[in-house]
Amino acid sequence: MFRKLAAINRRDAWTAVAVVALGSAGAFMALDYRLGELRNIGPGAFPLIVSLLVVLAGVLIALEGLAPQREEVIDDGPPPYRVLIFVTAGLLAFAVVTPMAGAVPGILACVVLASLADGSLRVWQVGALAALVAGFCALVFVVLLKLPLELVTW
Amino acid sequence: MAFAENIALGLSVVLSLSTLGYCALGVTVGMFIGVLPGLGPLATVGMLLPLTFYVPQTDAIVMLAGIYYGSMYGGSTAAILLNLPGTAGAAVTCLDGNPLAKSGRAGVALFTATMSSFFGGIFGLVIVASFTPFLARVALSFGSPEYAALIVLGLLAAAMVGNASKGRSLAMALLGLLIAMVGTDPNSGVNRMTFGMLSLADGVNLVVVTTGLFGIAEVLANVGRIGRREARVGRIRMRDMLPTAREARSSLGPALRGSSIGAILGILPGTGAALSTFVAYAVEKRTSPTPERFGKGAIEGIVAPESANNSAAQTAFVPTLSLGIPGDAIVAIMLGALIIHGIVPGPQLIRDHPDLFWGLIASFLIGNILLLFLNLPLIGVWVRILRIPYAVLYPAILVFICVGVFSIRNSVFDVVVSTLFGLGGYVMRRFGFPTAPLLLGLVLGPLLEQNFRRSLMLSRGDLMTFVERPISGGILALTVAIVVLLLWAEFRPRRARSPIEKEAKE
Repeated sequence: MFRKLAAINRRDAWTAVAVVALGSAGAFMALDYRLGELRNIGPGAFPLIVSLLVVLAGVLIALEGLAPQREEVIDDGPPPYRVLIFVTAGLLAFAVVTPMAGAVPGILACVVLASLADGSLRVWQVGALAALVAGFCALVFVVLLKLPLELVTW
Repeated sequence: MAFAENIALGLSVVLSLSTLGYCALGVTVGMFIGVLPGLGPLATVGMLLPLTFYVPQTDAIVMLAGIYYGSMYGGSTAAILLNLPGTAGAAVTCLDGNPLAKSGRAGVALFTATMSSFFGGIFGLVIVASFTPFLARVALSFGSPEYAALIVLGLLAAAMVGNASKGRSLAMALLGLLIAMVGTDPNSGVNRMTFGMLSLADGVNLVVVTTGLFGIAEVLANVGRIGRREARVGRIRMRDMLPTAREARSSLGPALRGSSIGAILGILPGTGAALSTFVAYAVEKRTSPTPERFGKGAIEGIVAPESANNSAAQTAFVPTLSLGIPGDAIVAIMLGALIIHGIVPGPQLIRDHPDLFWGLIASFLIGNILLLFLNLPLIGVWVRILRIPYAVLYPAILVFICVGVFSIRNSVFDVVVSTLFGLGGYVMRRFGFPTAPLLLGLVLGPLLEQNFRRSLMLSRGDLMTFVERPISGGILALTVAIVVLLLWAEFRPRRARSPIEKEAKE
């Protein structure tokens, strides 16, 4: 019981520290810009106020962590590294391939890599899905909506 | 009579072939993504926003709005049949909808959910049509201090009135404000917080943030978790859908109460459909003479939240169209769409663009009627759609996000930023941060800063201007009252959380 409580508080404490650090960083950045005076505030004033409020929110989070009987932490289990890696890879593949070869190769690369995150589809199913999605995008975005999207360029 | 003329104007707009088509498309897409768990209206509206640049302005808004309230209808289907909310606004519907389905009365549950949604939708639309022009007339006298005060109220309401930790919600709303400041400051021309990157000089695009935080983060959270689930329902015949006369009679009260709660929370800037369902359910359970039936298939437990979320999905447009301050995060994106189309949201909108305003109202009416037909006779189609495995769905979602984000300005930089927001959003969720307040902060940030600066300029640097002007002072007093009340509720010594709040967290 006590260990669980301590764990919850530590989590809240680190969250609070992170938020306070974020606010401080924002405030520090805001000081780079002119603050101006009250009757004509400069570009730095508003970011500074907001950043200081972020610090305040961090303190509030810490106080909430101290309050007894916070709701139980929802335990999501260990981070799903496989999902994180392959979804990110799929998105970045689109970003890398599209300028080089056009949107269709970008889409194919995205579907193939992203589908590895789940891994329950067979190879031919992934192929069919990629072709289907690429065809759908070409039809809807380029043929129907006439988006300025280059499908294949090499 | 002016009102009849306005409605006639609206209908003449909507009944044109193109607008009608976009309305039908919007509600169908809304229904579709509402049915599918793991794809919400927020991500969809964000994803489709770049496509609406190529569509006439009224049609664009009509379609995006249709996606929003259409998803409120669809969300209940998965909730009832699979005990898995299709959208956040349908989570409460699981509590009584699924037990009803398990006892072999899925048809009754679906019928009730649809009829309640329709009731709430029409209720909300009447409120929008009657209340918005009135509020806009009042708001014509608002100056910068009043707007600044209203935005602060909206942001704090979004951050404080929810189940999540107040400190975390507040931090997110403020982070949204900070992200809004990235880019060129319109007053001084200084590039703020761009880290020296030219691609950030225009600021961070709303679509990039939305698709990342709500589309990509949602996929990251769902892959491998939403398995293949069979909806075990036989053929549902129309005959099996009708509730008993007693159930129908006992539904009227909950429908009226639910719609009213939805309307109030919908109008209040910052709070939206999902929250209204929790409140409506709690109120119904508390006022019921037989609260022990709730959670075991009480029909009121479906009626109240379903009418509330649809009512709220409509009334969220009241502050948006009268004040230019979005009622919730989804409408905030539509506000962004309006601005992109060169329409200045604010009290002048109804006067300057009556065809847009009344066309939208009329489209609500048509859309709700369409949804009634999409739901009841076609329920078999939606049940089949529920069987699409998520493994097929999510790569397609990711591609649509990529293409949508890329098409804004043919920039893969934006795709990368969106990915970063997706990863960031996922981490934030794991640490209990709600992401909707961030979006609201992002939309309201520039408005708040502009009005804040202008107020100070007009008052020659006197901060008292916010307090001394009666309307802005009143709004700020209300804001302070809400904050004090909610913080007191948070920190007072308390008993164990009530079950509904627990369920709400899940």
